[in-house]
Amino acid sequence: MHSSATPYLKALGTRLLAGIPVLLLVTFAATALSDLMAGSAAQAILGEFATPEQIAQLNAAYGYDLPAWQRYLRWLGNALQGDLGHTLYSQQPVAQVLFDRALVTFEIAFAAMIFSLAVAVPLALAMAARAGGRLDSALRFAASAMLAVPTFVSVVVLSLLFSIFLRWLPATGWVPFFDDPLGNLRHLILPVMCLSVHQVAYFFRVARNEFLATLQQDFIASARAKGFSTRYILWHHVLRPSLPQVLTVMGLSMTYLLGGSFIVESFFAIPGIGWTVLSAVQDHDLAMVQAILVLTVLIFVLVFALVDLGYALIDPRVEVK
Amino acid sequence: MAPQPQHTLLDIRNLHLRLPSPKGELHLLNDISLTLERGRTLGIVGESGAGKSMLIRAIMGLASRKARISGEIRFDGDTITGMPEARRRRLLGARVGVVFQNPTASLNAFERVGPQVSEAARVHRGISAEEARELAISLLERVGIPDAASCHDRYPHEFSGGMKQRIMIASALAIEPDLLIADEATTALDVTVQKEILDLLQILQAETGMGMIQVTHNLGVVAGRTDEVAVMYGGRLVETGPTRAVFEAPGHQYTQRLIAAVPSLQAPIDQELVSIPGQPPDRLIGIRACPFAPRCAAATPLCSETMPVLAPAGDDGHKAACHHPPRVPAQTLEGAR
Repeated sequence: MHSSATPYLKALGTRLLAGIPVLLLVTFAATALSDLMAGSAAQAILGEFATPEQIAQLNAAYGYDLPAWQRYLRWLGNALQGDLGHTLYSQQPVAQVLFDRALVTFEIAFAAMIFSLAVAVPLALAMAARAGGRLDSALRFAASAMLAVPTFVSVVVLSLLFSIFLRWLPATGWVPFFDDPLGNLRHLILPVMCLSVHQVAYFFRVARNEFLATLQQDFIASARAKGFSTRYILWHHVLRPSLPQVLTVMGLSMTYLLGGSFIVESFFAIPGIGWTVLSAVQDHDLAMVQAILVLTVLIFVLVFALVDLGYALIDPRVEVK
Repeated sequence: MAPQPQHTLLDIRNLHLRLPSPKGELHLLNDISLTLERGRTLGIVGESGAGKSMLIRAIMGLASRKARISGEIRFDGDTITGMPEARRRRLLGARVGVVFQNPTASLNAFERVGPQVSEAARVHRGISAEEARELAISLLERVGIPDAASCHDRYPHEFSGGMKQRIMIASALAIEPDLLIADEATTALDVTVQKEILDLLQILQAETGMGMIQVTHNLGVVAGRTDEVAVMYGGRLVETGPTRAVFEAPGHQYTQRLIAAVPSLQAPIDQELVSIPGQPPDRLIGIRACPFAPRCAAATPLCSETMPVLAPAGDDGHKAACHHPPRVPAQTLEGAR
């Protein structure tokens, strides 16, 4: 580990720059894909009773009739100046709307990640110490079962239980944190639980197996020969060497958390990006769809860059480049 | 001369270790009896699979939980077999240091070197952070790490194999052990580095007066560096005694063949290397014959009918379990040193 943060920032910068081609490719593909929609975009937006004049007007305003590459360059030029366009119906700046919605999704995804790790990792440590035991076997079975439950099932089951039968938690809706922190928490719990069903099981399995593999290492034998307790060995010698694997899985699970947010947000009517992208696609709000794609690509590039840097922070043998 | 009990550091009596396996029960240690006096050095030699490392694991309480162990092990008067696990762990952890074969794998690559060196003292003696740092630096100096103070905060991968083994030795010394066990500690190192490490161990032992066990398949490690030697074969002790006596007049055919198999620099260049044909015995069944009989040139029907017991083969407690002890003195160990 270096005392200075500069090499890390530099490495982060290089990785973000490397994400630019991906960003361009994905956004261009999205622009081009809208050509595949049945009928013209303007027709779809205005509905089947639109007059040719109305369609021509809309095309003139938004350039829907231009070839894909022209539309793309137009969008890119504006985007580079910070203008992501306006939402189709409410005519709000896309960037502003997206920022508000993304905060909601990030809050849920972040909470689900923290919650899942906080449950799964200590449990995995405890089970690695008694691998093959009854409790370990039971938890492994439970984890397999939890992984087999699709999110659209867990949302129904959990909301049925906690909102309909027990009436502990609100079934739908959202309260921003800064308006009402407690209300925010109450609305947060169900979506986080739904996303965590998978995450807890996934992290538990990966972490347990990784801890077990680390326990087989020679340096664990020398720690045992020094008379350290199993608990001490788990916390001081097993946890950190196992973290790179857990970190990899954390990065990958971001894909699940974002994908899962589509289902969870639409089920609980939460105004996050998952919910937004579904309605934007339905409404043919192309500017919004494009902006969400940009955000998604940025998130992934950033997450994987952070995972890379995380390896270097955890493992002294890994150098940041 | 009977050893005085209060000076006996390690006393192993009739130790057996059985391990259940899918194919049946493995007889990994059979009727092992050994003693080590305070401040003395014992070499345990044998081929891979002879049970040397298993014996160390049984002593340290590191054998598999499934293993069935019988017999008695006493450490400095305390019977450690049958002792509650946590108590045994603390007792041995605070008084026995172990150095393993592969220094690269035996150090935690994720932790700085200094804290690893002082760790056992921090855990067992609860010394402060500053004391731990001082202790680690002084130990690193003692095992010959140049610029020990700056090495304290470096990671294992920044050191060579020989240096890492020195660091492992330093970490085993942190508790000022009464017994140091070197389990194939030089096997993974270059020959020149091997000699340096062996010399270092010898010096440290002379300085501290700790007892030492050298576990090795390399007779050269044992010859001239240990007071006593125990030869293991097929999970049994086949010969034990003062190192000099065992090497000069081996009392077991296996020991003699082992000594003869050591390549010598004095030998003519076209001389074929001696090897012992055959495989070590299958440990599935508790055999009643001499375990070496199938590979032994001197074997007679008696050898495959009756198990030879350890019997006096010379002075000073030299014992061997052989029906037909070799008559010819073995070649001297010039080449092995």
